[in-house]
Amino acid sequence: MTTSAEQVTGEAVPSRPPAPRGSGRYGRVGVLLLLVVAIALPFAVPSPYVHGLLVLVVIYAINGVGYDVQLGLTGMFSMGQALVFGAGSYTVALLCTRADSTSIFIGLAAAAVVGTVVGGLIGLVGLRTEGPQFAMISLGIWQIVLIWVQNAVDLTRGPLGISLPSYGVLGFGDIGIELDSDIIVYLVGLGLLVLTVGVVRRLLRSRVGSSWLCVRENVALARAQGVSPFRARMTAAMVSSAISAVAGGLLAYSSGFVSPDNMSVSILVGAIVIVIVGGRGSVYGAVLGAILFVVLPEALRAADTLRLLVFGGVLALGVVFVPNGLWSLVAPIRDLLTRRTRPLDAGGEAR
Amino acid sequence: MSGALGLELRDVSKSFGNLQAVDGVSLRMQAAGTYGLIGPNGAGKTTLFNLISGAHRPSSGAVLLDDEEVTGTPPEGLARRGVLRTFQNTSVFDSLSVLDNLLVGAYLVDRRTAVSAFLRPFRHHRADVALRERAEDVLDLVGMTSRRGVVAKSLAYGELRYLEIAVALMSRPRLLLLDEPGAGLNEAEVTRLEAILGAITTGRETTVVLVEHNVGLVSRACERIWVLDRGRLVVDGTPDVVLSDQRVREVYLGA
Repeated sequence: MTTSAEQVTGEAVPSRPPAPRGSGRYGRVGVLLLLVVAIALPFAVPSPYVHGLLVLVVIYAINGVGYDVQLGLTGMFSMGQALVFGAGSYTVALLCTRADSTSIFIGLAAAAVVGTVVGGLIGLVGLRTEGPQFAMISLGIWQIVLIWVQNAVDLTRGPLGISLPSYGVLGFGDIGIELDSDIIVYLVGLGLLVLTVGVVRRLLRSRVGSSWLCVRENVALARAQGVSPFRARMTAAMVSSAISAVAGGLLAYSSGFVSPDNMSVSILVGAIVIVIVGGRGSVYGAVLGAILFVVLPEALRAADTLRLLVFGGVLALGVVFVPNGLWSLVAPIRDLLTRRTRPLDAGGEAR
Repeated sequence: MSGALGLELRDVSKSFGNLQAVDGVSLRMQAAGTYGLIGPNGAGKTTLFNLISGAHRPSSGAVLLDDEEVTGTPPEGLARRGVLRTFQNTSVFDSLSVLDNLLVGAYLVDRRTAVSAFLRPFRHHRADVALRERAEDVLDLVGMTSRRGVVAKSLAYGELRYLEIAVALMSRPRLLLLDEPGAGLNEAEVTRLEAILGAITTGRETTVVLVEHNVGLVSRACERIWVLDRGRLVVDGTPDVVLSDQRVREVYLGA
């Protein structure tokens, strides 16, 4: 009890070395190594089939990281994720067909903006409630918009879908690299994934991220500490939706075709499975979840007609035996490799 | 905005259906003191706390902080004015470490904004360092420095009580409401709690109100005590006066 109350309740804070933090140098080297491997992968394995899977992995991973912001970090069960994903896809499709704009910078930025707005609107209506009620309201909004998209033939061509007339361009106007191969789409997606993870992790080290965690952990205490649950959930919904819309936009560029399937239930289920299997609230876990979600069904092709049954069984067993997700298996290894300073070891008593 | 807040309740009542939980309570607590609120179970102490902290809205009456009416302000609004509280049933961020409880809970004093996170890296880093230094100071004050890496849900019960107080202290409370901080603590832990309370109040930057059953703790820590019974104030005064009052002995001590 050496600290006097003035130090704690007053403005004056004595200087002291900061507490141990983060994974440090070794962690960064590890991440860089993994990135190099990820970049080299499509060149090392020259198979169009594998390249196609890699594209799906990065798109699902981006969507998963986005969904983790709501489901994992803020504890919100939004059913509107397929809607914002599809909104991103349609934004890109309409820009390509109606505005002749093939720049993916413009397309994905527009998708992010549209996603933010749609996510914000879902929040504005739905976040007057919380928990299951919010899930139901977001479900309702998604279904209403989905039916509208299927019927607004003039704009969306309904169930026929929209074919993109040309590839997206990594640049502006006609100047830049065309996204005409899965390798390029994959590399662009990888870059976006790194950016996304970076943005979310950066936000987690700000008061915005703190407000998300507060609301997830304990709403009453969050409010008592000055956090407005509505505001925290609203920012989570908007950030999450922006990210998922970018993933949806990227899918549009890679497949060259956008239909109501881009906002179908399989998108939502995919996001939920990826976040839960990867490890709720771990951010990196969503990447692992996406890899499993894409690769496992392919690996199970040998099981033929039983494929989905086995896939479902594996997921169910995974949730039972690894309840905290894949990241909970990887994190300890990471900590060991990076010799992350455990706050416990750093003990303050001896200081 | 700093300095202890004075608290005034004017004829505050709260009923839940037919139950009159708080019935016409008026009191005035000067800034920077340490006060006790005692009474038998069901006397309405926690309800009164909830009215002061904004968790409940009074059915009638007014709540004033430093002569400014704040009746009906939501909890997060009152927290912004410096009213911080702990909960009767120990409320922390269960799955976070002790240190993260302090960092995440310090929303009000956290200068690490979303804007600085991306556009002002140096400012952001300084804010981060300042927040962590503050967390270390608070950990030091509650004597939990060596426990900073422990996940909250695996803490011992007594430590949860200290952690709760620490989380509230992060936000520089001007009025600190502690709901039964001594409940379930053994004698040694109560002594440690008293030391923490002493450290909080020596700077006189904070008004502290305790709801407490431990009469010994209240009479040692508080300069003035209010006794509540069936939603009404029965008596108030210095610990000596209150605890020797015949009505208090009847309603509270059962003697």
